Amino acid sequence: MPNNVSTIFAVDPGTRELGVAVLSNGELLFYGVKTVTDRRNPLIVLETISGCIRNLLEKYRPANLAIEKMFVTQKNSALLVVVAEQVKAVARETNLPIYEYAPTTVRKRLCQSGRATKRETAEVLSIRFPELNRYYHRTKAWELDYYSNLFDAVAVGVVCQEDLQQNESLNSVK
Amino acid sequence: MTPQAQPNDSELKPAPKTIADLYPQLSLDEQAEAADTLKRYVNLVWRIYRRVRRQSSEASGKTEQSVKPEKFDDNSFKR
Repeated sequence: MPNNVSTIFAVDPGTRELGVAVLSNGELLFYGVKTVTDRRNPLIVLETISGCIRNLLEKYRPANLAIEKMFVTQKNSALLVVVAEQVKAVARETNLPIYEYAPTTVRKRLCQSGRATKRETAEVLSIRFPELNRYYHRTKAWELDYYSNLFDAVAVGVVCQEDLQQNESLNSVK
Repeated sequence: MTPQAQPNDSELKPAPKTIADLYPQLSLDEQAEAADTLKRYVNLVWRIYRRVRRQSSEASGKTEQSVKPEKFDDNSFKR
Protein backbone atom coordinates (compact mmCIF):
# COMPACT_ATOMS: atom_id res chain seq x y z
CA MET A 1 0.00 0.00 0.00
CA PRO A 2 1.49 3.41 -0.95
CA ASN A 3 2.48 5.91 1.70
CA ASN A 4 -0.51 8.22 1.97
CA VAL A 5 -0.09 11.65 3.56
CA SER A 6 -3.58 11.50 5.01
CA THR A 7 -3.29 8.02 6.48
CA ILE A 8 -3.23 7.96 10.26
CA PHE A 9 -2.20 5.13 12.49
CA ALA A 10 -3.95 5.56 15.84
CA VAL A 11 -3.03 3.74 19.03
CA ASP A 12 -4.52 3.46 22.47
CA PRO A 13 -1.58 2.03 24.42
CA GLY A 14 -2.13 -0.67 27.00
CA THR A 15 -0.02 -3.31 28.67
CA ARG A 16 -2.59 -6.08 28.22
CA GLU A 17 -4.62 -4.82 25.26
CA LEU A 18 -3.66 -2.34 22.61
CA GLY A 19 -6.31 -0.53 20.59
CA VAL A 20 -5.25 0.19 17.02
CA ALA A 21 -6.92 1.88 14.05
CA VAL A 22 -5.91 3.08 10.61
CA LEU A 23 -7.84 5.93 9.03
CA SER A 24 -7.55 7.46 5.62
CA ASN A 25 -9.69 10.16 4.00
CA GLY A 26 -12.44 9.77 6.58
CA GLU A 27 -12.58 6.00 6.20
CA LEU A 28 -11.63 3.34 8.69
CA LEU A 29 -9.21 1.06 6.87
CA PHE A 30 -8.42 -1.13 9.84
CA TYR A 31 -9.38 -1.38 13.48
CA GLY A 32 -8.79 -3.91 16.19
CA VAL A 33 -7.52 -4.84 19.61
CA LYS A 34 -4.17 -6.58 19.95
CA THR A 35 -3.94 -8.73 23.05
CA VAL A 36 -0.61 -9.40 24.71
CA THR A 37 -0.94 -12.99 25.86
CA ASP A 38 2.66 -13.72 26.78
CA ARG A 39 3.21 -11.58 29.85
CA ARG A 40 6.07 -13.40 31.53
CA ASN A 41 8.05 -10.20 31.93
CA PRO A 42 7.88 -6.54 30.84
CA LEU A 43 10.53 -7.03 28.17
CA ILE A 44 8.42 -9.64 26.40
CA VAL A 45 5.39 -7.36 26.59
CA LEU A 46 7.38 -4.53 24.99
CA GLU A 47 8.79 -6.79 22.28
CA THR A 48 5.34 -8.13 21.45
CA ILE A 49 3.91 -4.62 21.17
CA SER A 50 6.83 -3.36 19.08
CA GLY A 51 6.44 -6.28 16.69
CA CYS A 52 2.74 -5.65 16.34
CA ILE A 53 3.22 -1.92 15.67
CA ARG A 54 5.99 -2.59 13.13
CA ASN A 55 3.80 -5.10 11.25
CA LEU A 56 0.93 -2.64 11.01
CA LEU A 57 3.21 0.23 9.96
CA GLU A 58 4.69 -2.00 7.28
CA LYS A 59 1.28 -3.07 6.03
CA TYR A 60 -0.50 0.30 5.97
CA ARG A 61 2.46 2.72 5.63
CA PRO A 62 0.71 5.59 7.41
CA ALA A 63 2.07 9.14 7.36
CA ASN A 64 1.09 10.06 10.92
CA LEU A 65 0.84 8.49 14.34
CA ALA A 66 -1.91 9.53 16.75
CA ILE A 67 -1.64 8.26 20.29
CA GLU A 68 -3.55 8.76 23.51
CA LYS A 69 -1.57 10.69 26.07
CA MET A 70 -0.73 8.69 29.16
CA PHE A 71 -1.13 9.84 32.73
CA VAL A 72 1.01 8.32 35.45
CA THR A 73 -1.89 8.06 37.89
CA GLN A 74 -3.34 5.13 35.98
CA LYS A 75 -3.08 1.62 37.38
CA ASN A 76 0.00 -0.25 36.25
CA SER A 77 1.19 3.13 35.02
CA ALA A 78 4.95 2.53 35.02
CA LEU A 79 4.81 -0.12 32.31
CA LEU A 80 2.02 1.71 30.52
CA VAL A 81 4.16 4.81 30.11
CA VAL A 82 7.02 2.66 28.83
CA VAL A 83 4.65 0.98 26.36
CA ALA A 84 3.50 4.37 25.07
CA GLU A 85 7.12 5.48 24.69
CA GLN A 86 7.93 2.25 22.89
CA VAL A 87 5.10 2.80 20.42
CA LYS A 88 6.41 6.31 19.75
CA ALA A 89 9.98 5.02 19.40
CA VAL A 90 8.88 2.51 16.75
CA ALA A 91 7.04 5.30 14.91
CA ARG A 92 10.16 7.50 15.04
CA GLU A 93 12.12 4.73 13.30
CA THR A 94 10.06 5.54 10.19
CA ASN A 95 10.07 9.30 10.86
CA LEU A 96 6.34 9.46 11.48
CA PRO A 97 5.10 12.70 12.99
CA ILE A 98 3.52 11.94 16.36
CA TYR A 99 0.33 13.58 17.61
CA GLU A 100 -0.66 13.06 21.24
CA TYR A 101 -4.09 13.77 22.65
CA ALA A 102 -5.34 13.69 26.22
CA PRO A 103 -8.56 11.70 26.70
CA THR A 104 -10.45 14.81 27.82
CA THR A 105 -9.37 16.66 24.68
CA VAL A 106 -10.61 13.79 22.52
CA ARG A 107 -13.96 13.67 24.34
CA LYS A 108 -14.41 17.40 24.12
CA ARG A 109 -13.75 17.34 20.39
CA LEU A 110 -16.05 14.40 19.66
CA CYS A 111 -18.82 14.93 22.22
CA GLN A 112 -18.57 18.69 22.77
CA SER A 113 -17.82 17.98 26.43
CA GLY A 114 -14.65 16.82 28.17
CA ARG A 115 -16.90 15.22 30.76
CA ALA A 116 -18.45 12.79 28.32
CA THR A 117 -17.97 9.16 29.32
CA LYS A 118 -16.02 6.51 27.42
CA ARG A 119 -19.35 4.92 26.55
CA GLU A 120 -20.78 8.15 25.16
CA THR A 121 -17.65 8.69 23.10
CA ALA A 122 -18.00 5.16 21.75
CA GLU A 123 -21.62 5.91 20.83
CA VAL A 124 -20.54 9.00 18.85
CA LEU A 125 -18.08 6.84 16.95
CA SER A 126 -20.65 4.13 16.30
CA ILE A 127 -22.89 6.78 14.73
CA ARG A 128 -20.02 8.02 12.58
CA PHE A 129 -18.80 4.56 11.62
CA PRO A 130 -21.78 2.15 11.45
CA GLU A 131 -19.35 -0.77 11.11
CA LEU A 132 -18.45 -0.22 14.79
CA ASN A 133 -22.06 -0.66 15.93
CA ARG A 134 -21.54 -4.36 16.63
CA TYR A 135 -18.72 -3.53 19.03
CA TYR A 136 -20.71 -0.81 20.75
CA HIS A 137 -23.78 -2.97 21.39
CA ARG A 138 -22.16 -5.48 23.72
CA THR A 139 -23.64 -6.65 26.96
CA LYS A 140 -20.88 -8.38 28.88
CA ALA A 141 -18.64 -6.23 31.06
CA TRP A 142 -15.45 -7.80 29.73
CA GLU A 143 -16.53 -7.12 26.14
CA LEU A 144 -17.27 -3.47 26.88
CA ASP A 145 -13.88 -3.17 28.54
CA TYR A 146 -12.11 -5.00 25.74
CA TYR A 147 -13.65 -3.02 22.89
CA SER A 148 -13.20 0.28 24.69
CA ASN A 149 -9.55 -0.03 23.57
CA LEU A 150 -10.72 -0.11 19.98
CA PHE A 151 -12.99 2.92 20.41
CA ASP A 152 -10.22 4.88 22.18
CA ALA A 153 -7.87 4.29 19.27
CA VAL A 154 -10.47 5.26 16.66
CA ALA A 155 -11.36 8.37 18.70
CA VAL A 156 -7.80 9.62 18.82
CA GLY A 157 -7.42 8.91 15.10
CA VAL A 158 -10.56 10.85 14.18
CA VAL A 159 -9.45 13.90 16.16
CA CYS A 160 -6.00 13.77 14.57
CA GLN A 161 -7.57 13.46 11.13
CA GLU A 162 -9.72 16.53 11.73
CA ASP A 163 -6.64 18.49 12.84
CA LEU A 164 -4.68 17.47 9.77
CA GLN A 165 -7.57 18.30 7.44
CA GLN A 166 -7.95 21.69 9.09
CA ASN A 167 -4.23 22.39 8.71
CA GLU A 168 -4.42 21.34 5.10
CA SER A 169 -7.31 23.68 4.36
CA LEU A 170 -5.55 26.52 6.22
CA ASN A 171 -2.39 25.93 4.21
CA SER A 172 -4.32 25.84 0.95
CA VAL A 173 -5.91 29.20 1.80
CA LYS A 174 -2.50 30.82 2.34
CA MET B 1 -39.21 62.47 11.99
CA THR B 2 -40.32 59.80 9.61
CA PRO B 3 -39.65 56.22 10.61
CA GLN B 4 -37.24 54.51 8.28
CA ALA B 5 -38.12 51.22 6.76
CA GLN B 6 -36.60 48.43 8.89
CA PRO B 7 -35.56 45.22 7.17
CA ASN B 8 -37.48 42.30 8.54
CA ASP B 9 -35.84 39.28 10.19
CA SER B 10 -35.80 37.20 7.05
CA GLU B 11 -33.70 39.84 5.31
CA LEU B 12 -31.22 40.09 8.20
CA LYS B 13 -30.63 36.41 8.75
CA PRO B 14 -28.99 34.31 6.07
CA ALA B 15 -31.06 31.37 4.95
CA PRO B 16 -30.29 28.27 7.01
CA LYS B 17 -27.98 25.79 5.35
CA THR B 18 -29.50 22.48 4.41
CA ILE B 19 -27.86 19.10 3.97
CA ALA B 20 -28.31 19.58 0.23
CA ASP B 21 -26.36 22.87 0.41
CA LEU B 22 -23.54 21.25 2.33
CA TYR B 23 -23.31 18.07 0.27
CA PRO B 24 -24.71 18.83 -3.19
CA GLN B 25 -22.81 15.89 -4.66
CA LEU B 26 -24.79 13.36 -2.61
CA SER B 27 -27.84 11.58 -3.94
CA LEU B 28 -31.20 12.12 -2.22
CA ASP B 29 -30.83 8.83 -0.37
CA GLU B 30 -27.34 9.75 0.78
CA GLN B 31 -28.55 13.17 1.90
CA ALA B 32 -31.32 11.51 3.89
CA GLU B 33 -28.73 9.26 5.51
CA ALA B 34 -26.51 12.26 6.31
CA ALA B 35 -29.49 14.07 7.86
CA ASP B 36 -30.31 11.03 9.97
CA THR B 37 -26.70 10.69 11.14
CA LEU B 38 -26.56 14.39 12.04
CA LYS B 39 -29.85 14.12 13.92
CA ARG B 40 -28.60 11.16 15.94
CA TYR B 41 -25.34 12.94 16.70
CA VAL B 42 -27.03 16.16 17.85
CA ASN B 43 -29.44 14.17 20.02
CA LEU B 44 -26.54 12.35 21.64
CA VAL B 45 -24.56 15.55 22.27
CA TRP B 46 -27.71 17.11 23.71
CA ARG B 47 -28.15 14.10 26.02
CA ILE B 48 -24.53 14.39 27.19
CA TYR B 49 -24.96 18.11 27.81
CA ARG B 50 -28.08 17.50 29.89
CA ARG B 51 -26.39 14.78 31.95
CA VAL B 52 -23.32 16.92 32.64
CA ARG B 53 -25.53 19.86 33.52
CA ARG B 54 -27.72 17.74 35.81
CA GLN B 55 -24.67 16.33 37.58
CA SER B 56 -23.18 19.80 37.99
CA SER B 57 -26.46 21.01 39.48
CA GLU B 58 -26.62 18.06 41.85
CA ALA B 59 -23.03 18.63 42.92
CA SER B 60 -23.74 22.27 43.70
CA GLY B 61 -27.00 21.37 45.47
CA LYS B 62 -29.27 23.06 42.92
CA THR B 63 -32.12 21.42 41.07
CA GLU B 64 -31.89 21.29 37.32
CA GLN B 65 -33.86 23.86 35.37
CA SER B 66 -36.17 22.33 32.86
CA VAL B 67 -34.42 22.06 29.55
CA LYS B 68 -36.54 21.64 26.46
CA PRO B 69 -36.89 20.20 23.92
CA GLU B 70 -36.13 16.63 24.98
CA LYS B 71 -35.23 15.77 21.43
CA PHE B 72 -34.59 17.69 18.28
CA ASP B 73 -37.43 17.13 15.90
CA ASP B 74 -37.09 16.03 12.31
CA ASN B 75 -37.93 19.51 11.05
CA SER B 76 -34.59 20.78 12.36
CA PHE B 77 -32.83 18.77 9.70
CA LYS B 78 -35.05 19.29 6.72
CA ARG B 79 -33.31 18.85 3.46
